Amino acid sequence: MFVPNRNLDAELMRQPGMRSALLRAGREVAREAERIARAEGEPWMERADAEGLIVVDETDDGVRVTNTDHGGHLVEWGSKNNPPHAPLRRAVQAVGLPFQEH
Amino acid sequence: MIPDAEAIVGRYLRTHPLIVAVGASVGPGIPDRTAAPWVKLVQLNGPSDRDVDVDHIVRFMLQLDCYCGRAAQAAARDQATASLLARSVREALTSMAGVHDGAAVGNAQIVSDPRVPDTRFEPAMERRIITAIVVMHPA
Repeated sequence: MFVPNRNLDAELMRQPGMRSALLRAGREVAREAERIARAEGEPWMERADAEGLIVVDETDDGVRVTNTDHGGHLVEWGSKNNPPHAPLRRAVQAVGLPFQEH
Repeated sequence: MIPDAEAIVGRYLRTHPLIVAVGASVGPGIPDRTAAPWVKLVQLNGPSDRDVDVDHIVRFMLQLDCYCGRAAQAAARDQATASLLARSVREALTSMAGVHDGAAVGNAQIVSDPRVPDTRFEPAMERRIITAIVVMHPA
């Protein structure tokens, strides 16, 4: 009888191979996002203590790609004064990953 | 030639009964008059389907900013109006499949819908931001 493993996601995330694959994908997204962001003149409001414009770090449940620019939300989403440039969303699509926001 | 996604989706939403009922306009930017709700529609990306080597089936990534408008702000209905508009847009997009203006259009996939007020307005304007993937090809 098939018994579904409800902890499969968590167990997979503990596998070194899975984590390194995710990290590789995160770095690809970051590289593409940085290219798009720089083309739009980022950083608009540079964060002094940041290690870079687009950074990748590991979390308990995956990998996070972050735009450290203080104006990153304006660049990503746009505002009254500027159109959206969406470096993070476009980067996910550009490297061939399915985009689903949580 | 591949379809003009912004024009097709814009025209479709402008005449959709749910959007008309909210009284919202649909366009590429901020309207001159901001009393009524509006949808700002921007194409973020439009890559070809990766499984074919011709530029025919396109996965358009669209951003639809659903703003509440000044009248809703004045009536303290800003969050509710932005929410109603966003839900109306989602409903319209996910029932869009068919032929529109010479393009075969699939139902939209809604990939995100966060609440991100636009702080560049004073006071900040309630806004829901829908990111949608709409697949189209010439009919």
